[in-house]
Amino acid sequence: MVNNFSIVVASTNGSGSLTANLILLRSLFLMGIPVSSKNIFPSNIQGLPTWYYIRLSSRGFEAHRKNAEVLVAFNRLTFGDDLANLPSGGICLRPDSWSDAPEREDVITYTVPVDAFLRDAGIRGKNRDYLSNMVYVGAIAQLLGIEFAAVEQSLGHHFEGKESLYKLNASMVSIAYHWVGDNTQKQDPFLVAPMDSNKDKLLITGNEAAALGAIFGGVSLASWYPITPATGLIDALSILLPKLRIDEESGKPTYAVIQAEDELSAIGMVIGAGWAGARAMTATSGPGISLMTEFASLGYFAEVPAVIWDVQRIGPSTGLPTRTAQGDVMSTYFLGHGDSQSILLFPATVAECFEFGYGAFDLAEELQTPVFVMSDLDLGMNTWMSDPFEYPKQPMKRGKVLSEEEVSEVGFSRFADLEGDGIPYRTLPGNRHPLSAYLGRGTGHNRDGKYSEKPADWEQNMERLTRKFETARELVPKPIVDEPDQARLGFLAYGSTLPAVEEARALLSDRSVPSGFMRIRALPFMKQVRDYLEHYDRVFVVELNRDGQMHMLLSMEYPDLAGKLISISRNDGLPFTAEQILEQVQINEPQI
Amino acid sequence: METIAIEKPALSRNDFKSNQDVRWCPGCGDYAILSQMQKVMPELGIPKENFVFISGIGCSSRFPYYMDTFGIHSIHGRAPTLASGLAIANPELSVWVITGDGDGLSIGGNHLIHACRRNMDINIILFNNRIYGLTKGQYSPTSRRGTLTKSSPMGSLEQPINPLSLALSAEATFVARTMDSDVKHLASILEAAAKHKGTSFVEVYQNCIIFNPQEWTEFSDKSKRKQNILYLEHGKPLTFGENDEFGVVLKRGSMHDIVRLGNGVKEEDLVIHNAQSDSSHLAYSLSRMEHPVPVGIFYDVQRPTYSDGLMGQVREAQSKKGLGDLDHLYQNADLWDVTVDTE
Repeated sequence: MVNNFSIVVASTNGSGSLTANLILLRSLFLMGIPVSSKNIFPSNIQGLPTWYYIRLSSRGFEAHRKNAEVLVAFNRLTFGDDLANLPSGGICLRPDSWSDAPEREDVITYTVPVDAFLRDAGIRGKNRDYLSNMVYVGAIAQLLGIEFAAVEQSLGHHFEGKESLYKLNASMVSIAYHWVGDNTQKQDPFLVAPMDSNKDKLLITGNEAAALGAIFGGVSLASWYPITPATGLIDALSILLPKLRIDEESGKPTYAVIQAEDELSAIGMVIGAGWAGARAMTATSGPGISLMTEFASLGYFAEVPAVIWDVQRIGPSTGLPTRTAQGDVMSTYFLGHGDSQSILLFPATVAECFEFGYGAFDLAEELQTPVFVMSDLDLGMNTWMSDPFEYPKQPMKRGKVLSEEEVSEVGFSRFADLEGDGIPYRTLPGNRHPLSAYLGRGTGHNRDGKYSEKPADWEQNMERLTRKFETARELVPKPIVDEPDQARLGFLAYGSTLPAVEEARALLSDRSVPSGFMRIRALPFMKQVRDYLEHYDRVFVVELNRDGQMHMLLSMEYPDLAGKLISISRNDGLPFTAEQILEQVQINEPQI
Repeated sequence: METIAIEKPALSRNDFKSNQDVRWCPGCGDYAILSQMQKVMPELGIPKENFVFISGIGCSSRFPYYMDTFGIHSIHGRAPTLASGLAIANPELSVWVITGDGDGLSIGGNHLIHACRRNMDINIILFNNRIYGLTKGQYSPTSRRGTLTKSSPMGSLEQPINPLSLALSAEATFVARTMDSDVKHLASILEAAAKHKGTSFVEVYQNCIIFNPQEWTEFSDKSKRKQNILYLEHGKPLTFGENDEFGVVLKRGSMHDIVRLGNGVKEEDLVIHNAQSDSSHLAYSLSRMEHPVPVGIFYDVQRPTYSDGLMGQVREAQSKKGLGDLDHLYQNADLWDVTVDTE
């Protein structure tokens, strides 16, 4: 059982265990082992149970697994259930001081004298929580054979610049590590061994990657309202912008981050800034998108660039604020009253969070419309391995903006469709040409942008918006397709279900069942989608929501192909596992 | 048949404790507010089933979980709207809005303003910890200028809003302030709010031990309290200090000044607190004071509640136009007899 098992750390939130867990994760990562993690935390500040899963996979699988073989049990309240969930043959590490702790004969239990360590080291108060977590770091490192040097390096990374904290934490790790080495007989097969898989890779959350991408994309305004799980994206911006975006000459920042009074205000500021030519963005989650609806409609109709990140969490309503989902697809695609559709991007990896971080601005400005980047809690808040990000190679695309000179050459009619692609030209406040000023509006208008109630004007304008949407089909990120020979069934998915789908495909392939895979990266659908769907007998549409929203959209768009689409959708707040996908496939294809 | 009147036993504190484990952080000021609310509720003479606690989103908004009453944990900032609908639909209910400085004054600011001026019989309790707790430490509309937080790493740039000044400007008919660290005072204010008919607005200085633990130390520290707090009592002069040696006088131009008693300054020179004057000038002026901080009932007047007004209008319409006759309404238009030709 080397490098192929999962660890689950059961602890209490607000106790500092996330730090300990990230140190464990990083230690394994530094040993070159492919790792992934899931932080299952409660909607609370302190005192409720939290579980952190770390998966090791020599094949590089990153999907969630239902049961972890290695249990680090540091929450007495949940220990009964935690122990019951441990698969037979698994191992359990816990403090030695728990009286009447349940036991199982078919698992191996190791105990550590946490209280004694803390007492001997004179640890008091809040530090007791923090440092008891370091006990399990040291203990599990010894038990699994994690290189101590890797743990030290991770501690160094985490406590960089905080020498005394480093010493305090490292010391406790070391005490536990050596005590377990001296006092414990390993009786289980779970071990780690160094690999070479992580060369040049980095560890990062989707939210941080998105923030970096936005900075590369020239973001100048981020207006926002706090909401889990989007807050981290803005926090990352707040940390990185002061370092990266101070004008060398003037010493002034070239950005602003404004905490608004609510989401309506946040998107209002984005649209105001975007109209004036800034690259403006906001980040929110489902409830915030709902609040932003009316403004999104204005953005669509008045044709103003805006970038909105929806780091999705489970809904409807307040839902489970700390659990993941892909439940905002349908509502965001059709956001707003009247006839309208939005541009949606679906990043599936942290690298794509970076790529769409800057790419969304290009699209928004080219198309003069709001662009929604549909991330989710799993991608945004968990720590993922990634190859280094590819920096943008092209200059920023600012879209059709007329300068003073251009207006004097060609004149200006705000909504004239000069190139037939539905995208008109705009001007920006500050343009001194007398013809350039115009009144942006959400009310009906003619080609010149003047108020009009004429039926023909309305219809032409709406037809042009449809044309613009068709142009968007050519510009949005293409789907990624893998079509092995002889595959009769295909998968279609988007976003963070990627690891589970890839693992399910690999397991099917192990059983000699090849399968195709199309990963959608944007709405509207591009023509490649039809080609893909036509190719297969069955297409399994995998998504993390109750109603199979993408499945519904595909059925609407390709009614003649709807019969071959099978929805694999579920949502209980946890990410998909490969087994769950396989189970559904087998129900439909019993021969597999 | 003899009927037996069943006397319900008097309510106690335990009747109001729900079976949910309280999950606020240890040391959170919310525990004190919960405790005092559970102490005051049984004494109000209101049947338990008539209490409704409505909250929005935030740590404060978890409050209804821990009250064993009807309640709604609704959406961010919107509790006052639900409360208004509830209060009009069933005027027998004792309706409580539990909100915080973020929920109530940021996203919910608009609703709070209108809930105040509508003067429905609801009680709005705003837990002010000057921070966003549940989303982990952003500054709030009441954070002092320059507050350092994750979302204001170089200090907040905004002038904080004063909840009591806002409530008074929005025409609330009962406006008071209390603290989580003086539980007797807290209980008395909750009781007074409950007894007031109309919108009662109470700001509670509440301590967030995790994200803003230093905010209220001037008031929670018992050794400093008397110098920093001006306890308002209707009809009594405004004095404070270890031995009530300081007082408040009205200078020319209706600005307040702090004076030390003695040396020619007598109690008669001091402002007498009047919470019941229809004009809210004094209350507003007191709401602007920061040193010392006034606590207690600032303003407490009677105005017809929205429900009273509404019912009054119905009665007036009825007295002018009569009670109305539905049958008459149906029968009073053109009528045709429809017959079937049986040929």
